[in-house]
Amino acid sequence: MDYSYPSVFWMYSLMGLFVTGALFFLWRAIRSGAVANDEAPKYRMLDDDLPADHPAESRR
Amino acid sequence: MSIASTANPPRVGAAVEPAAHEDRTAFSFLLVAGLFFVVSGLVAIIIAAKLQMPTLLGNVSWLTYGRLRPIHTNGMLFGWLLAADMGLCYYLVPRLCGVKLWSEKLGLATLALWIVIILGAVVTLAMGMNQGLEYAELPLWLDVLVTLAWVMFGVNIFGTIATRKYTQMYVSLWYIMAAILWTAFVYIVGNFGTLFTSGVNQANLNWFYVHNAVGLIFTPLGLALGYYYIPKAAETPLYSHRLSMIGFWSLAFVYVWTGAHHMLHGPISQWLQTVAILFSVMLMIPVWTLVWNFLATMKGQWHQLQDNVPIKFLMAGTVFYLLTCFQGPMHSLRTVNAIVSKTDWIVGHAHMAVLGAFSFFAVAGAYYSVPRMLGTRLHSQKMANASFWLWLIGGLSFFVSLWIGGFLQGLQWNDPSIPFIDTVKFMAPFWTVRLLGGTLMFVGILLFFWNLLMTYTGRHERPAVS
Repeated sequence: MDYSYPSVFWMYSLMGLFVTGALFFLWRAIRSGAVANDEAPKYRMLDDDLPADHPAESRR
Repeated sequence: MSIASTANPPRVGAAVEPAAHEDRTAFSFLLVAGLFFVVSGLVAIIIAAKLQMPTLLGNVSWLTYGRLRPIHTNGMLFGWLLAADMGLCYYLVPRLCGVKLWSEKLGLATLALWIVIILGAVVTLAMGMNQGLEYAELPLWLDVLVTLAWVMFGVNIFGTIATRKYTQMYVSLWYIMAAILWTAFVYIVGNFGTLFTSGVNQANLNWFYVHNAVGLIFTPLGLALGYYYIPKAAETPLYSHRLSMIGFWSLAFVYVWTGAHHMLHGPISQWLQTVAILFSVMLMIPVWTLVWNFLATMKGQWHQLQDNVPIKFLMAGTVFYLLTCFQGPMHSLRTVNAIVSKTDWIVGHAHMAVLGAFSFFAVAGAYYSVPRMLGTRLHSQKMANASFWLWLIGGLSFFVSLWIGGFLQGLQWNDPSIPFIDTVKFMAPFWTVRLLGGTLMFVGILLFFWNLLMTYTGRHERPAVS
């Protein structure tokens, strides 16, 4: 029996799963607003450095 | 410039008070990465010298070429670049989310495990324990630890993003989230999936892993850094966030299929080779959207190249990225591949991607971020500038000599009347230039690490100027 094709098909079906996952997350992201037709994030990130005199402990 | 607060209000239920950034994890990761950069660079010089003097250190088993070469590749990829990328992610993700890192303790535990992994890799590879697969040489128990460390990193980053203040995410966050998921998939296939296959199937999986180690691990992390640090260092907004999202999603769809182009003219199916070629050429779409976005962001800001060291690194890295991503699709074409495949051309190509493009982005990030993490100024701008020129001149001579030599080497290999040993002797002058270029880059690495170290030790003497 030629074992070449089952493994190749297995690998590419995994990649197909990957693409399906990407499409799913794109759909979810658009629905939730995480991806939006808005340029606001590129301006917001310029001011993301916070003052240095805030409390220094982390959440955990 | 801050229109964000009105255009994009905080999420319901999100923390509204500003958070301080400790940056202990981020800085520690960068310092350790810098140390591994020095060590891996030293090993690189030794193995490049061995191409000139094959008997150099040849009587010591753990210093032979076969043992040092995987230490160099694993050291550069995982000890330096991935650790630096992780450190910079710990820096920029909390800032882009407007919250603190989910857990500094978990971050420091991840670093401790990462150090154990890298030291374990050096010892086992030096002892000759090698699984014999490119970039997957490490023994199984170290692969398990890498997976565990990556899960810890992923939990911390996703935990931070889950508590973010704003719904719409900046493009760097998308690349980082994707890199975490893709790395998990690619690493598991390359290091565990290959154990259940043999022969050509194993080679196919291995090349899937090797190519995507660069394409789906270092590329998205490197691009996340570029998208963050170019606007920050130039103090100007990104040209188009919309275009950046098109680039991200197109990369997500096409990159994963390209690995088999390393096996063109090999014993794999023709349809698989054609699929790999097709998707390799389609990579031009995300690459051009990104490069255009980076260059257009710099419109009106090019004067900053005179004295802004992070911008110098970022723009040089962008050009290297464009060049390497033009080469990649071109030598996935069957006719070009017949000449350059397996030659030193590919070595030059791979070094330009990892050492040219993505290391330049990471170094720019370190020069920009470390003083801000420590509330100080960089120890020496002159030293940082010198490191840039050493890397640029050394890197260009390194890459170009290997392209020219590799292309001519490929033409000779295609001529059956030329004995193979003659093609090896022919490469000697190109390898000399490679050694000299690599030595210049190594001096640049030393200056970079020394500068970071001195910035840390002298942080109280040079308070930051607001």
